[in-house]
Amino acid sequence: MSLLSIRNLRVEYTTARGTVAAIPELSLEIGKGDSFGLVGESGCGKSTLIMAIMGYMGRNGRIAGGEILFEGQDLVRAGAEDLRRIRGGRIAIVYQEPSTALNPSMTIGRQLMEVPIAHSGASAAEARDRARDVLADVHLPDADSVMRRYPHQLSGGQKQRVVIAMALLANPSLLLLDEPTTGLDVTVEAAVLDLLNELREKYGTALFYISHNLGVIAQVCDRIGVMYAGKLVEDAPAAELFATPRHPYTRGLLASLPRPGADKHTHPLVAIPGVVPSAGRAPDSCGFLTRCTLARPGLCDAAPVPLQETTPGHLVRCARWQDAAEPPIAAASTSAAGIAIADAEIVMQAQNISRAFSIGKRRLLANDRLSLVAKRGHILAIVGESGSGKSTFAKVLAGLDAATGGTLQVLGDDVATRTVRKRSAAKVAAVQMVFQNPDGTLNPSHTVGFPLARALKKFGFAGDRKAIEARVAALLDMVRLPPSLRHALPRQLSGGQKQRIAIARAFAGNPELLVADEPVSALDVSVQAAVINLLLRIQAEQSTTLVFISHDLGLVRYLADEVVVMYLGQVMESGPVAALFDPPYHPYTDALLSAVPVPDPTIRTTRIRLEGEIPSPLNLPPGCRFATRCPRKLGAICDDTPPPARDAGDEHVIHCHIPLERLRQTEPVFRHAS
Amino acid sequence: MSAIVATESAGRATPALWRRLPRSPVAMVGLGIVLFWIVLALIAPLLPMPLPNAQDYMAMSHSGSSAKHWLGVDPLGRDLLSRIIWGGRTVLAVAPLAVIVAYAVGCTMGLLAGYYRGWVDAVISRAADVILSFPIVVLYVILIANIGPSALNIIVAVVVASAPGIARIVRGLVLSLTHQEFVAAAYLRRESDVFVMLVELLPNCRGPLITDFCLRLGYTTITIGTLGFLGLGLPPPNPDWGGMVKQATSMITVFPHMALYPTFALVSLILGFNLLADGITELSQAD
Repeated sequence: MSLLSIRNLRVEYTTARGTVAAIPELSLEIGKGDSFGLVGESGCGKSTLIMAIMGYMGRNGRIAGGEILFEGQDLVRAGAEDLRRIRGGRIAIVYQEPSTALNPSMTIGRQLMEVPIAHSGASAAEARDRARDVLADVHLPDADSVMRRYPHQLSGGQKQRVVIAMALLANPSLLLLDEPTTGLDVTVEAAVLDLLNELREKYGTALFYISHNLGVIAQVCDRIGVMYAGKLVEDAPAAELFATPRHPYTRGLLASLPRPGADKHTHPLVAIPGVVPSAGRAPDSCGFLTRCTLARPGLCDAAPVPLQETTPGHLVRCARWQDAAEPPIAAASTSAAGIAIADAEIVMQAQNISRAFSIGKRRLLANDRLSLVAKRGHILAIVGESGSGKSTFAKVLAGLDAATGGTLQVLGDDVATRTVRKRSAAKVAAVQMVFQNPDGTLNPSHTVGFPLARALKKFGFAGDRKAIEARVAALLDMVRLPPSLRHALPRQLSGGQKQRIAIARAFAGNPELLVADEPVSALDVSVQAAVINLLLRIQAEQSTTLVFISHDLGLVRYLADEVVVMYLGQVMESGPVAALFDPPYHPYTDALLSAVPVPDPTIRTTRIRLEGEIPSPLNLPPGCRFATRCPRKLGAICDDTPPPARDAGDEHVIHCHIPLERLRQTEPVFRHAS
Repeated sequence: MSAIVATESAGRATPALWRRLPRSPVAMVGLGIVLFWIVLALIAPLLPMPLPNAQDYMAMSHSGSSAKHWLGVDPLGRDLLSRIIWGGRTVLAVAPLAVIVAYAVGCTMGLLAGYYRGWVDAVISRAADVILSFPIVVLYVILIANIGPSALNIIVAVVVASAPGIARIVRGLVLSLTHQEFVAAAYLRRESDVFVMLVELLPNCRGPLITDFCLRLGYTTITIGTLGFLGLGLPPPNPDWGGMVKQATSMITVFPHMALYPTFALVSLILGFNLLADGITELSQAD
């Protein structure tokens, strides 16, 4: 008997526009101790499903049909008392945002102890012992001190561990995980995923893991379901799904992810055209119909497509799955060779850039003697965890902030301490920026065309109103948006469209240098691919220099020409992208790479997990910044002396005390399992 | 210019606020009451009734309602209905004018404080705190007693008392808005501070401000009534709702209607403004 069995579930919401079926019909089974992953972009109904299982439907939602059998009991028809016993007891849930899952006014200990007291009537002393044990299981050292603390005294990763511990305290047989690592740094994410795998083995808890990130799912799940428009479109064992994806949507998702080892010249990303239809708006026959390149009239739009079995255990909901198998994902090799690195002109050169903030009497060094170079037409990627000072540097470069030390040569002038107000109009136009958050990047009170027209005017575009309108239309066309969109308000746009507008705005003044601060990290994978393709196309056409800030090493590998790895405001390693992703590595780069969730189970990655937390930038280690967490620390020299810059040739520089010869002997992080 | 473009475009996406108003019954009731008083005030000179200051000595012996004086007369034999309607004219002219001026001052203070922070914020916010720390009625009495009662001085008093509250709202909104990336994007176009404040920031404050504007009209109506009652309103013989109540209090047990009718007028107008504010809040939350 399976643990959780959902049969013909239908979930409806009542809205101002009538009843919409967020989940028209869904069936799936999870056995005892299984780990099932559910992927799909936002708006596909993943969270609705979780809410339906937990019975948290909200006032306007209802389960209109079907059953959710958990350990043989139907949750849809269960009474309130039964549900209370099951929820938080037999089924536990971990949400995306750990800070909202914990009560900020209660100590961790009290919140943890509540669980055994409420669910198994344990005494306070028993509950405390149990809480202490579970905290040890989730690898939070010094359980007693953690239990005395309040949520705000823990880091994001620690909080998520506490939430997982809390979920495990009731000894659930099913653990629902709704994007539990989204928003965490990649190194922390890797550690949480390791923990989940370990706990699953120890407790035998079945995992139901929801994510938009195929790489993360691949790390944790044995079986994967792909959800689209409220329906399960493919359901297969993990290895098989990645090896032989059958549904065009699954194939599209995989094609929009950069694979390890691939770059923009050999394997361009392929975006899925269009966007996810809003709930209840998808065609009844096949939800993916409107975005599918294989759709055939008369076949795909006739009757609802049933789930079919391709091989035992591999289900797909596609009328043309046999055709979808071949040809493999189009890999149009454009093979536009990269520009020769040596002879490109230097557009931006930062030397010993520092940015210190005063906090009371203390000094926070966000950037500490940062030196890096960007060359014309090249893409320089800056990577590092949050708190590494990437965004601070981006602001200094764009002139939104001023450095407190060092020189920053941009197109021949030192602009280190000159913010936009002190730079000439030409220089401001020459250095533009694309921001991270699509919802904040456009003024909600103004039409989309307004910032574009305004930028043209301010950057001295000569011409009357008509000429400006024509140029705005041309800019929109450049980012593949219809000119009529200039009258739209930001809230009528999707996240991807907003980022396109932001790109168009940045290119309004024909910039020489574009700073992109995590421009796609808030977007869904298929949209991400489209925006990246667009950015790369315009960048190549106008031979703009791009400074691309990201925490996503897969993406950096894919698009960058040169990479700078930052940690606590300093450069750890820099060099051409090819050199950086192969040994010799800086130990920090090594750890970052090994934390990347790879959406391909056939690739083995070295497992290096960093201990502890990033030190506070108010209290920097005096020697090597990475010494406190370095798995390859040599000894006192790392703590006391700043590391030398070791030249590994071809402009590849590693700041480390470990001799190059030994760094060269490191095993590559990504290996094909043979 | 740019601000005009902005409001135009706001209308295009979802219907403008006044077009959506019919969706809220609460707002419609409020609007109905307010419009009732506005129409009466507008057509007051055309209505077939005695002038507000005309005394009817014959009616004084029987001050209750009659065919000639529908609501009766006041202690001086003046027609109550006429005085209430003409009194509405004053309230409906003085209250909006006072609130609009208070908004101009308050928004400027709030924008400057929230945008520049530092010592500008310190000076503006502390000044606002000082004013807000006075009990409001005491503040009015101090102000009017010193500058003398007149329509202009009522406006001055309302502006002094209301602007700090408006400034606080605007300052708070501006503080959170300046971190938004569209503000950074405006800097990257080399926009001036004034442009950023007026075109990028202020339009995004309008949601909370529209509701506050309607509420504040209600408060100001109360204020004008209170000032009249304290004898600090419009100097006699101008018809003034608060003043009418004050005049009638000494004989309230004998002739309650003389105080009650102007009170009803006052209450209904305030209720109208408050219901309108509630309805608008409801509509903006439904978005």
